[in-house]
Amino acid sequence: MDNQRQSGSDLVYLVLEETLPMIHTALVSYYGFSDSEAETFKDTLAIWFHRVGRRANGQLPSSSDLREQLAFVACKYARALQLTKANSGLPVETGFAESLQTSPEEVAFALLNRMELAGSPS
Amino acid sequence: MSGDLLPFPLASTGVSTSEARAFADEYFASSRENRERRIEEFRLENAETLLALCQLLDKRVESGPAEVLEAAELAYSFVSHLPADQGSFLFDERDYYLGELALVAGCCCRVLSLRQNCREWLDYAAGWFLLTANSAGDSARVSYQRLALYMEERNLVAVLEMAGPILECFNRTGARELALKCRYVQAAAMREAGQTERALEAFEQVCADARELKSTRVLGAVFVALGQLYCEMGKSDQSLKLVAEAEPFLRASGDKVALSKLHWGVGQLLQSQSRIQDALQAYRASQTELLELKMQGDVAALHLVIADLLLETGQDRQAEWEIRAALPIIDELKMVPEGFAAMSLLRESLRRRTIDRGALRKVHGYFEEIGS
Repeated sequence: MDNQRQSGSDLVYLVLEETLPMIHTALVSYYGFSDSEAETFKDTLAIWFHRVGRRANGQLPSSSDLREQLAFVACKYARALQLTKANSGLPVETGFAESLQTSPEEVAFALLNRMELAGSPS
Repeated sequence: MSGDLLPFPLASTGVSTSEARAFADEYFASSRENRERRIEEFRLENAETLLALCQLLDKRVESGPAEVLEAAELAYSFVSHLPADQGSFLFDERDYYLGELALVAGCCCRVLSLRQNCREWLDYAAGWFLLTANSAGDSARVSYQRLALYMEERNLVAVLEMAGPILECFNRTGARELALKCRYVQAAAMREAGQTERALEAFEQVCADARELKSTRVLGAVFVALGQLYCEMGKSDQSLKLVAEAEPFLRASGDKVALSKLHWGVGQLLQSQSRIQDALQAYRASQTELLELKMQGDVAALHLVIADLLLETGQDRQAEWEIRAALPIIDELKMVPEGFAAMSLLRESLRRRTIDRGALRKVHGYFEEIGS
């Protein structure tokens, strides 16, 4: 059981290490986050993801499913944050207004495809 | 999506993993009154505490389903009434923990034969899980509980129809223990459909795989099923051997639900060897354990099994007492939907003081249980 927990935790670190750089790029270049906003967002995402790794009593999904969850949640909440900003009258750069029209699933899948093409995940 | 509920950015949650475990342990160990009175002190507004609590409750279902249900219901109520600005939840966590608590409550209700409550809790769980990041995987766990509920209601058509896709989902996502549970239910359906040899083969394979996976939960349930099946097939030696292995294993793992059912199986074994008094003793011991676990449906089923045995030995008056003890429970739990006709017949025959054994067996035939 301890070994299982250890390998689950290793898997979570591995997926984070592989996926966070791509997520950072999407946050900044697609959703219009500043660098510091993107860093804070990623820290929050990492705390959440470590707890996801401990859900369901160690019966972790595969690394590709975990990566999918991470990318999807990142895009869903990044979009929601920018929408909240826009709705509350805070400035959102015009170039990013269009990105908010795209569904987070679409953005997440594009992100995952790019990762696959880059050959990073095993 | 509106983006109205946005838990970002958020500072550290303020409860460490070990503190969370201690809060969860204390919450579970408290009496109902204490839990309600001190609910704010257990830090259930914290995701880390809820994670520890859900894990604890899930592990304890087999050792005390009624206690787990009580704890899960109160925690669910507390979290679902938390104001939006309270609680340290990130992204989908509030939805996930509400789904998880509802799922645990649903599972307990199923074990306790509270079938309508079980359905309601599973509906709540399904609703919350739709909002989570891994909704397919979480929803599949709800589907498994529905499958097991259908099995208990003897809806074999639904079981055989549903089991395939759910099993495939668990296989694809690598959820090995859940896949094993599905195969266990499939084997139980085969047994119920009279495909005894196929069922035996399937149970033995599940048993071997559960050993390899070190799944105490599946092993407990499969030990009970195999013990009963060997007995039904006249393989007393194998049944005895299995009981001898299962008894210390279930005691060590704290699986009181399976242990009480194992003792029920011992009664069947003794009955098959015409050791009537010993069988009655084993049935009574099992019944006492089931009563302690508040598993009223199984207590009622054992009243009927004992009545059947008493009738076989010409003890009609005692048998009548057993049946009279079972009927109010069956009524209260609204059990045996397909057995209502048999139950009316049984009532009528009791009124005329001539007990119809066919009707009796038809009623208690609907009670056999499966593991969680």
